[in-house]
Amino acid sequence: MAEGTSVKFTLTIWRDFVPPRPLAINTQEDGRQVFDSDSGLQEQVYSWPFREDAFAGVADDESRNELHECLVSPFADSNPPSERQLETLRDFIAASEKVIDAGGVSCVQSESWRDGSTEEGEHDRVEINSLLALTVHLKWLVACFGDRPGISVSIR
Amino acid sequence: MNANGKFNLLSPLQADPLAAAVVQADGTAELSVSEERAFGRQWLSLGQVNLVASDLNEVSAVKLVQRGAYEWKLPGLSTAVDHALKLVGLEKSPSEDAPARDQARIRRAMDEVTSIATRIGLVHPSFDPAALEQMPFRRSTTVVVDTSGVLQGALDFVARFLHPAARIKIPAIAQMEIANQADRFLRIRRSRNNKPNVRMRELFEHLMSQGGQRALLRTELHGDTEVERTYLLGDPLRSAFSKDSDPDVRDLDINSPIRSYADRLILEAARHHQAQSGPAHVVRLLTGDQGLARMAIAEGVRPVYFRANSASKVFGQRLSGQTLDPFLGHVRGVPLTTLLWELATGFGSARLKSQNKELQVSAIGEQLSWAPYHAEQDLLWCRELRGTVRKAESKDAKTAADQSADRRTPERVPKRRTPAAKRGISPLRFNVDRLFRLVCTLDDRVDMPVPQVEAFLRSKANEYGRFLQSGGMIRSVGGMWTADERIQFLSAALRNERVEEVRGAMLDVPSYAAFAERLKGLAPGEPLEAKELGRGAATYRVLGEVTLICASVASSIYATGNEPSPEEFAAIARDRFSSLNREGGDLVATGEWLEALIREDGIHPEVARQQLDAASEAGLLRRSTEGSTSQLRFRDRVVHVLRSQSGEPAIEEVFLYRGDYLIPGKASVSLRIEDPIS
Repeated sequence: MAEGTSVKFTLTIWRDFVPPRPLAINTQEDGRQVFDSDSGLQEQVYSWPFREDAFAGVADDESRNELHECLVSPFADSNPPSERQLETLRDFIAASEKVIDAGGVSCVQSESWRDGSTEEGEHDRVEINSLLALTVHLKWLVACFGDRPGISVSIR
Repeated sequence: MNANGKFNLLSPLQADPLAAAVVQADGTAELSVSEERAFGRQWLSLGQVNLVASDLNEVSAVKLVQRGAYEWKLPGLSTAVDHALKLVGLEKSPSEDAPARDQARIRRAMDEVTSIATRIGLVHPSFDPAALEQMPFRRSTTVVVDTSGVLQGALDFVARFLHPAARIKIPAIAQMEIANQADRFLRIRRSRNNKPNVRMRELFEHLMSQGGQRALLRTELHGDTEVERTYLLGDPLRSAFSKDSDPDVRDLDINSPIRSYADRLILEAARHHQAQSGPAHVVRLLTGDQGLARMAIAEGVRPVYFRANSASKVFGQRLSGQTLDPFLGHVRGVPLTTLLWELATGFGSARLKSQNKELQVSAIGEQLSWAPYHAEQDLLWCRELRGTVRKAESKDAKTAADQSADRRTPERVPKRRTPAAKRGISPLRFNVDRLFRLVCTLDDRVDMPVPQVEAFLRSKANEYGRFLQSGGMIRSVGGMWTADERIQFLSAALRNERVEEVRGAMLDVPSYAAFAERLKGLAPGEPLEAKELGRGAATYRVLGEVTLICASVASSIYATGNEPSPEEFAAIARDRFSSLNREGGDLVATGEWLEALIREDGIHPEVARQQLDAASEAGLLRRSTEGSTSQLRFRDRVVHVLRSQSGEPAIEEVFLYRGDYLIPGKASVSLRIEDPIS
C-alpha cells in the first residue's frame, strides 16, 4: 500500500472531558472564554482512518444509500454529542450484516492493501469485501467502548 | 506432496498452493477440526471458507489464500455445541443435571475457537477503553503478560500492533502455567480413561495448552517483537502448584496452579521491572483476569485489561481474512494457512475439504513426530487427499449420534453380505496375541512376503490373512501382503491400549462383527456356549475379552456391554456383594464377586476394576481386602486383557481369584464392600 492512499473517512471517538481546573483562552473577538466542568468539553480518545470505499461493493443502490445514511448522517460533527452515541453504530452494523448475509455485496479492489509484495501488478489485483471488514472493526469498537459513559462518535 | 494421503512436513508457505487447490474449484470449502481422542477421529465442522474474488479465473488462488482474501462463516454456537457433545459421546448423559454442565464445558472449549481467531488477528480482544485510549503507545512501554494474555490473543495483539513501542515481558510463571497445562493434556491423553467427560477434559486441555505454547513460540521465533526475560528464583515457582482434585482426573495426580499465588508472581515480575526501570519508563500489566487487574491497580501498576472474547462473538458470524489495522486503517491479510495452522495446533488436526480435494493439517498424532526444528520453521504434518469425496461424504452423512454410538458399543450394523462375505463370518482360529503383533509389524513394514509372515507367526498364515483381508486391513497380491490404511489405525490403538478403538476397528471384520451381534442378542445372564463357535471358540473368546464385549465364567461366555457410571456401579457392587455374602462373614472372594458381575450384570472385569476405583475415590463406597491365600481350585478362571509392553501389544491372562488384580500390589483375595454411610 502506498502511504499516500486517500482516507475515505475518519472515525473519531470522544469522551466527556472535565478539566481539573478551569481553563481560559483569550480571543480578540470574544474576549476571555473560560472552560470548566459545565462547558461540555470533549477529549479525543481514538481516531481511525478508513481508507477503503465501504459501499462500492454493494450491488443495490437503495441498500448502498441506506448504509451510507446509517453511517454518516448520525455522526456528523454538526450533531450534538448526545445524538452521536456509540450505540447508534449498532444500527449500521445490523443493516450491514443484513446486506452481507443476503449476498448483496461483492468484493472490490482494495485501495490500502499492504503486504510488502513487489511482484509486478499483483498488488493491484487484491480485492476485499470492505463492508465486511469495516463491520467487523466497528463491532470491536462497540465491544470496547460500548459501556463507557460519556462516549460519542464523529465520522467525517 | 503425495496424492496418496501420506503425511508430509510443510510450512504454511509451502502449503498455500495445496489450500488454494482445495478452494479454487468452487471458491468454497468446508473447514473442520478433529481432536484425535476426544472426537474419536470424527470431524467437527467449523463452517465454510469462501474465497473473495470477483473472478476466480483471473486471480491466482494462491495469492488469494496468502493475502487472506477469504470469508469464514462459522456455524451457530448451539449447532457447534450439539455436534461437539455428540462427538465426545455426551449426547445422552445418565444424570439429570449433566447436560447443562456438559454444555457449559463444551462451550468453554468453543470459547477457545474464539481465542484462536483472536490470536491470529481475525478479531481483537475487547480492551478496557481506558487502556485502548493509550494505544498505540507513544513512548517505550514494557508490557508484562499473564497467562490469559497469552491464551486469549492479547499478547499477539500487542506484538502485532503495538510493536516497536511495546516491549513484551513474559514472566516465568506464565510459561510454567502453560507447560503445566501441556503436561496435564498429555497425561490425560496417555491415560486409558476414555469416558466422555475425560475426553471433553482432554479436548479443553489440548486447546488451552497447545494453543498457548504456539503463541509463546510464535512470539519468540516468528515475530520481530522484543521479548524480555528476567531472572526469577526457583523457590517461588516451586510452591505455585498444588494437586488437582478435579474428580475427572483425580487419579492422574495432576498439579494445578494456586491461582492467587501465580497471579502474585506475575505482578511481582511487573513490580520488579518497574523498580529497575527509570521513572519515565512505563510498565503495564496485560491481563484478562479481573482479580489480577484489581491487585495491580492497588499496587501502582497500571493494567492493560481486556475481556476475553466468548464463543458467541464468532460463532454464527462471518469473519474476513482481510482485517483492518485498528490504528492505521490499512488492510492486512491473515493467510488461510495461518488459520489452518492455528486450528490444527489447538485441536490436533484441521481439515479443508471441497468436492474433490481435501487438505488435512495435523500437529499431533500417534504416528506423527515432533522436533524443535518443526517449531522453528513452523512445520506441521499435511496430507492431501484427492477423489475421496464419495467415501468421506458417506461417512460424514451419518449423524453424529450414529457415529458416537458406533464408537461406544459393538452395535455397528453389518454391511449387506455378499455370498463371499457370508463365508467371511465363519469363525477362524489363530493366536490373537500373534495377530496383534503381526498387525503392528505390518504397519511398520507395509509390505511382507507370505514366507516372512509365516516365519514371524511361526505357523501357517492362512487364517490370519483371511481375518485381516476380510476387515480390509491388508491386500494380498502375488504372495505379498500389503498393509492398508486401516491397519495404521488398529496398530496405533493396540500400541496405546485404546480398547474402544481396537473394538471399532475389529467391527470391520465380518466374523468379529457377527460374534458381537450374537453377544448382543443374548438375554441378561444368558451364556453363549463356547461350542457354538466351533473351532474358533478360543480365538473369539480372547478377541471378545480384550475388546471388553464378553468375558467367560467356567466354559460359558457372557456378554459384557454394560458400562455403568460410578454412581450406578456403586449400587450394583454393593448389591452383588450383599447377595454373595451369604454367610455373613463380610468377606467375599474377589473372583466370585467379579464373576457375579460378569454373569448377572454384564460388567467386564476391566470395567469393574476401573469403576471400583472411581466409586471408591468418589466416596460412593468403601472397599477393603483381607486374606492372602489364593484358592487354587479357581486358578483356571482367567480373563484376557490388552496391555502394551515397550510399545508393543501383548495379551495378558488375569487371574480373577488373585487379589492383586483389583488392588495392584496387594495379594488379598477377599473383598469387603460397604456403604460409606453405614
